[in-house]
Amino acid sequence: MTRYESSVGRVILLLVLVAFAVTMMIPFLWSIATSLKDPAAVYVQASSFIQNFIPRDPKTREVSIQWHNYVDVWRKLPLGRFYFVSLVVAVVTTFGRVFTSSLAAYAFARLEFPGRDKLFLLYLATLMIPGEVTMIPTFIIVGKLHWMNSYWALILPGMFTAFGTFMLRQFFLTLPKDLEDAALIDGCSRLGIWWRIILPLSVPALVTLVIFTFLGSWNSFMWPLIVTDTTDMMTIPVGLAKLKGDYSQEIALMLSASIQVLIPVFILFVACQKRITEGIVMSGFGGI
Amino acid sequence: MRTETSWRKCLCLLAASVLVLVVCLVTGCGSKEEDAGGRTIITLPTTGGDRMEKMYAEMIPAFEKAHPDVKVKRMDVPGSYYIKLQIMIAAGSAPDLAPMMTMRLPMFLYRNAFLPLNDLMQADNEFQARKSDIYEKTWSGFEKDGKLYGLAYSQNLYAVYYNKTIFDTYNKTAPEGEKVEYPNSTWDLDKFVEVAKKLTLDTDGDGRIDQYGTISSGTPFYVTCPILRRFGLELFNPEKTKCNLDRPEAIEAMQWYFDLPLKYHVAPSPVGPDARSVGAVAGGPQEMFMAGRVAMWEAESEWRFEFNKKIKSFEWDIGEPPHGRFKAAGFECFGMSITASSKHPKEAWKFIGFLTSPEGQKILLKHEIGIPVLKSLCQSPEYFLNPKDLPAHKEVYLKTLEYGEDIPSLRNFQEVESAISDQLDWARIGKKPTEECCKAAAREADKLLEENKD
Repeated sequence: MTRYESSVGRVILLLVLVAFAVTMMIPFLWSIATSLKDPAAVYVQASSFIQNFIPRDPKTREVSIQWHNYVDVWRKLPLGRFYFVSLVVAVVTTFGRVFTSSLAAYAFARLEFPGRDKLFLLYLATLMIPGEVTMIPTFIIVGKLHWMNSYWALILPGMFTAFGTFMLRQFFLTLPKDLEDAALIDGCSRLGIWWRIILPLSVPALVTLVIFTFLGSWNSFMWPLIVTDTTDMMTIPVGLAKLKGDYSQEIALMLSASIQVLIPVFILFVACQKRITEGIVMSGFGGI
Repeated sequence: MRTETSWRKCLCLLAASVLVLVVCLVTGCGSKEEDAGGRTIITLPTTGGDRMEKMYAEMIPAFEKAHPDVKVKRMDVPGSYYIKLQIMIAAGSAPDLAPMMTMRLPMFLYRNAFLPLNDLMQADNEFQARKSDIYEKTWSGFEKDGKLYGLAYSQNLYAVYYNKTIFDTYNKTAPEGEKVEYPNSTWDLDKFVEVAKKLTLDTDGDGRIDQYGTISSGTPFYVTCPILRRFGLELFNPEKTKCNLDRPEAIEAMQWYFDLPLKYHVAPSPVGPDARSVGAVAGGPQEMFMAGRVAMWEAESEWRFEFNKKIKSFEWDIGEPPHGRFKAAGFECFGMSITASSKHPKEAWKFIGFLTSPEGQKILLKHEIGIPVLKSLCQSPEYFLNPKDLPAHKEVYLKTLEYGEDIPSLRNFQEVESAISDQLDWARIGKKPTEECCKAAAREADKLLEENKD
């Protein structure tokens, strides 16, 4: 291939990728534009597609950007409280899940004990059970323990998962045993090996699990809805649902709140983006 | 030595785990039932957005003032209320009260989840004294086998919302014989289509229709049932064991409805060039109406609050729906039931009684929750018929109340509705003949209606 053909090819590829990127960005840009509109202007159709992205007054059609929507939603809802609860739940759930999954994964990957493989298969089989099936028994247990409207109801059921254990076990199996053997010879305990050798070598897989768990916990709606019925214990997705009635919805406010709650997730993703790709490649696991 | 150290470490780890578990159990326990100062606490799940929040913020203190021996504990359910209610009932932790719509009632009655209210009503002399002021029609949706399993506290009545500005703009340039009048009780279905045709226009001259005479809202029960009734037919037989969509009158009725977008082109088509206009505005028919692109839309009274808030660019009002061989309109009630597991049914009944009392109904009206169930308030220019609030002709709702009917309530109404819509939608988008789709819908519905046999 000549240098010219290679350049043309790259330009075409770049254009195609830019087109895909713009297409993916359009709904997000529409959300930002709508979050800056007057509530009445949300339903007014502009003369062209591009004009819909410009916030205008519904009557005069002059450009009118409603920055106050981003403030109004804080007055309408205790968004700070929702943020706090969501952060606590997501962070503690994430660390809890990484802790429990890595311990279990190490045991299934490296320890020899009777029935290990059968126990692992049984544990894996729980992935086949839909969440809707276990929701009622878990709700009953939470009720009996008087955990309703508490952080434990929001956090504890999400801290244990076969998915995380499976993913990390697969990754741990790829690590060389020689390192552990050497550590054992030097008198290191199994817990020490897990903490000093296995975990540092598994950063990409751990970061992947962190991202998936954090996102799942941050966006979870049904379980927090079931176990909370007071505003001060609601997470963001449940709290934002208060903006939607049976016959009304504050679309501009909902979108302004939704964009604001994306910030922590965005920061986390940007910080861990490289590790996610490494983790997915190395563990051979494409996603939830 | 090494084994001893390992065992010691294991024991330490086990002890630490037990300690953590005990701490979790002790500190994680939610608060016990709060001290109500000797009052009986009844639990009430609340849902429905901002207006409902504000309503309950006034209603509950007013109730507690009138009944100092009872305290209402609110359970905030911002979404998926019926799913959460079913889970709570299945888990044995149902609330005392349960807001309920008539269409959802059968699935709970099937599980014996609600208490009959007849005895509680009989024992309440105050309620008996004012019972005659409640619209009788609001009782029927909650009745089964002579027992009442809930009481309506607000109504949702239907009318044709129309864009006055579109009508007036058209009439400014139309010749005398072509002018159109606002929707009224004299209109039949042909007249409705005739006016819709005149108001379906390309207003900006770009060769595409951007203003429609009306809009269709799909094929859910609340749309198909009034249309069928205008042609003299119910969707199911009285026993609800057979779907009537395969009958000639039903096919004729659905054909009229599907002809609106496909033959007369007075409503946006769900596919083809018009689909772009439907999808270009977020959401459904209400968004198109609020965007000023639809001249007439038959819908329920709850939308008037949203229209009051969001419609600034045109004037609007309501008229009676067109009649076919018969007059027909939709009708819904929002009510309150008492769960069968409630330990405080008498106190729960007190709250229901308060909701339907003049004081409670005035609070509902003030916070724009539905239409009252009390005749005295509905017919009063000081309350419901207050000329200050839009729409200007609210009496139209009371006229449609006279002939409005609720949709059939079924234990599995969502499955039946989906099965019928799945077949009818083929005709709605013009892919299959209406007769074929109606017959297929009836067959599918008949299979599912087997489950409703007691």
